[in-house]
Amino acid sequence: MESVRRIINLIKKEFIQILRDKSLLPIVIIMPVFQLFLFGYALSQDVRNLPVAVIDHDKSRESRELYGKIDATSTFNVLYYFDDVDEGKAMMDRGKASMVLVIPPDFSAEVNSIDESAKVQVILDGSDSNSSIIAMNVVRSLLSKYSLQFVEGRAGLMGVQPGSIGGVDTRVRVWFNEDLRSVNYMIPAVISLIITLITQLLTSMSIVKERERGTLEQLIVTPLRTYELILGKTVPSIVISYLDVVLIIVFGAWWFAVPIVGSVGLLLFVSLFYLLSTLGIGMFISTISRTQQQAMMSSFFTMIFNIVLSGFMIPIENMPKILQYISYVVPLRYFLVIVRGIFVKGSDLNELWDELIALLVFGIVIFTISSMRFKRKLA
Amino acid sequence: MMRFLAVLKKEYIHIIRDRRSLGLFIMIPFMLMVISSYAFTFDIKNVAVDLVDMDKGKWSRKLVDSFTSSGYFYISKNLELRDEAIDDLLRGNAKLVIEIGPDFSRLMEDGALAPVQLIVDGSDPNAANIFLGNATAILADFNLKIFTSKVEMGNSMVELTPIDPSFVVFYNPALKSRNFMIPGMAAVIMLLPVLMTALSIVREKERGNYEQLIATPIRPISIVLGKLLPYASIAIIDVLIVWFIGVYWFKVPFEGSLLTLFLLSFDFFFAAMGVGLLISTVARTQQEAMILSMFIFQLPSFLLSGLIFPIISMPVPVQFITYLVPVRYFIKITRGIFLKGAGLAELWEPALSLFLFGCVVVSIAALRFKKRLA
Amino acid sequence: MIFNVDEDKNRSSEPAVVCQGLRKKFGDFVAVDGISFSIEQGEVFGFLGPNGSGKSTTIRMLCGIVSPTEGEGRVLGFDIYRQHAQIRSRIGYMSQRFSLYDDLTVDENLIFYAGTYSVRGREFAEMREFALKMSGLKGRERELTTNLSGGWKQRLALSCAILHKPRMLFLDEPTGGVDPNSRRIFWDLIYQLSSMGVTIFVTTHYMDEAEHCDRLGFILDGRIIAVGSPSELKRTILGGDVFSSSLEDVFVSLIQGTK
Repeated sequence: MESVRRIINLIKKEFIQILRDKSLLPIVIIMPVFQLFLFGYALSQDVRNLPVAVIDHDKSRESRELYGKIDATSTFNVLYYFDDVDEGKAMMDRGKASMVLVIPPDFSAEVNSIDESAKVQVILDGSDSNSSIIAMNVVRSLLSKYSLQFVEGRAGLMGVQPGSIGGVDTRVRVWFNEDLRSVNYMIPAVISLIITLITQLLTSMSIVKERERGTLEQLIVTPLRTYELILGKTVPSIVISYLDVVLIIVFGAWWFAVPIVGSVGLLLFVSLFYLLSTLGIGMFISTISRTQQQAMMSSFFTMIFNIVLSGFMIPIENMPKILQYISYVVPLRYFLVIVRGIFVKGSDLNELWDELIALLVFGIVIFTISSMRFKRKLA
Repeated sequence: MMRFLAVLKKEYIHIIRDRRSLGLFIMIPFMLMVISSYAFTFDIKNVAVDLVDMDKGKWSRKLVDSFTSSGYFYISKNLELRDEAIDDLLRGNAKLVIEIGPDFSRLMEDGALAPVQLIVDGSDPNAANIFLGNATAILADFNLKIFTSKVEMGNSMVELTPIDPSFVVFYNPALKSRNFMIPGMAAVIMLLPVLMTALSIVREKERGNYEQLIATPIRPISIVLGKLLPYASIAIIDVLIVWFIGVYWFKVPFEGSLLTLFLLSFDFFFAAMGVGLLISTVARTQQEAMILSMFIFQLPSFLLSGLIFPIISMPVPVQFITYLVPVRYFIKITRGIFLKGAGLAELWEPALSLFLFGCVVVSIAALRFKKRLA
Repeated sequence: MIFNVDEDKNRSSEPAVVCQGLRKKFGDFVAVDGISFSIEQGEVFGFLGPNGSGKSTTIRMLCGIVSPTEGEGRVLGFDIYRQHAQIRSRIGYMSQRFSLYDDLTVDENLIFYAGTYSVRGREFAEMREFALKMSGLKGRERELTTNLSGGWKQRLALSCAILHKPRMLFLDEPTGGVDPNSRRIFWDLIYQLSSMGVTIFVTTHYMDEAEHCDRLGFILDGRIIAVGSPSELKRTILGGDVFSSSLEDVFVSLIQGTK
């Protein structure tokens, strides 16, 4: 049919332009890989290597054992040994120490006694609250466990059989992503992000560029119908972002050994649903932007919005209620659940039903509104 | 001087006329700040836990109480069988499952080891770690209390906990994430003016006005300054907005001096604008400028500056790379001023680093600039 | 003759363009304030007026790029409100900015525009030859359009507009910013097309180009202040010697008259 041929004609031209655009190609290829590496290697929210200053007033075997245990964790790194707590605080002021551990002078005597408590002081740098909370938990656990050793000793001294005290034996089982690898969590997220950015950017930019150049006007005068124009503009970005998805899946899965527990086919299929939303948003951006600069800024703005409110980095449950409600209208939120579900949990259609419907509804609504607006703006 | 003012005025007019960009200019930092401040709570609360209690005895109740009283967790479902709990994990309805076997209370009474199974959803490793950390800490405390109470029963002792830790949190006692985020935001927000500077210069290049400008008697330095200052002023306004909203709305403590903040902000501008200038000498089109600045400046600044992900937890080679990110130093500065009341004495290192960075970058940009003219 | 519109037997003797009371408002600003005129088939009709007088808006309304606030219009017998599709397949348009894709080669631009008009196969091959010869770009098909200078781009844009053998051409300031020699060559091309029966509607603010048109419309502040052939206008408005007066004088006189 003529219509199809016209659409293909337009798509061909778009591809020629995209391939020739020297600055666009890097975004499409380098950025995904770059993000992969970034999130794969550099960024994890695991807290590690926090520098610690130890003020050991006791200098006994027990005190050394204590901070030895702390140093042995991956969370902490004992770097400084001072005699005065103020020196430790000064280090914290300068940002060189995250924690100061103060061991009192009678530490070993007190822990080994029957009826005394050693008052250990832990000073934390609260400016990095995330790390502090995690650090606090680690120290608490560690101190409790260390305490237990001495309790057993005391019990013995008082004639209570240690073995007869019992207690809770905590066993941990990790379901999904047993090794708790950050990569396994982030890679699916990176995929979603890239699909979002690329389709939005490519679509909005390609339309705005035509407008800036004056060729959009020319296209209106041709027999090209509005829906053909829309398809011609959106299909290239779909194709390219699919290529990127494949690139990341292959690269991420292979290089970082990220397992895909679920079905890749399902993933590719579901992406289509999500693309409806992103393309719609890209089109919408093109109708509110007169220049490329505005288009780009708007795209990035929505990106940031997406990142913060979609559960990409911060679980939605942690956010205040208002923001949680807002996140219900962020399509990426649902897509993230789907992608992560497929990758890590091996979820299938059954479990992802709700999210799929949500995506579909969003996609249709957004795409329709944007198309109508686009059509109106043309005339 | 007159000519410089002319360039300045023209630049301001450009900015004000492009209402949409201006709106985005102001909106983006503002929205970013507000949303991030509310959203970026790494604090865990109200985690849904499925309880599979096959025991329902005295001890299992005590155990569950110690969990719920911590405030971190709440029991979303009380189940008999594991399957439904696992299904909840699968669907994301619960993050943690506590499984207590049928013999639990009996074993505890007998003084034997009673197993408790914690099953956590590992798909979000960070959250999982935090949950596990909290859960095991709670259980360790629980154990300790049992031990001490059991031993106590034999003799009436009072203080039996061998180690009695006290925790003091400096600088951000309530451990509010936003006190951590907002000063960082001040740094990140200034990235936008940098981008704008680069874009405005490149735009002139694209439109061919560049050659025109160079052909006039205005000295290059006037052109550059004339372009920089408007955006620098916007950046200052941004910082003020952040400070104002941060302190008065979000109640972020501000222990330091506003003067120091401004002073060191200029230091940061110098470095950041230098990057903007450099980009403008490299990019040929606006699109290129945007992409370059995003890759080289914005993205790293967001992710590698210590804003969200602690630098110290990154692999060492990556830590070296972060030394090249000016925002890294500025975040240290802003956090220091806001939360620690730090002054120049404590912050001289990052301040100097920024200055040197700026010098290097600006020199390179200037050299490239000259090359173009020649 | 590569295409001869006169041979089209289905052509009626209706005017190519008829419009009545066309008005366009952008908010409070009235760009076109009630324009009525007609263009006969096969003629070269020029719209003359200063910048901002409403020339481009008028063309855009006729081509269907912008919808009129009020008024009626028919292009090649088709209604400009409801019969866009029929109009678009029969007209060619060239905008002020030439609307070429700078990042495409000469050939790629030709192929693309041909594709949108469904010109393919042998027909395309023929028209492509014609276009390349007409614009003098033979041998330069694989050059990037951005490397062409003003005059070449202008001719290429015209070529792209005629690939589908349109019965009518709308040219909006087609000679803007182009050197005088190229302008002359361009008008030669317009005559060539006109001799093939193509109706041509041209807007311009160059008085000397207006001399080349069959008929002219003077437009000022959104209104037509005079219509007629160059010689008619000189006679009626200036009342003097047709040969020694110029259209410039006509225009000046008209403006003074309206003051």
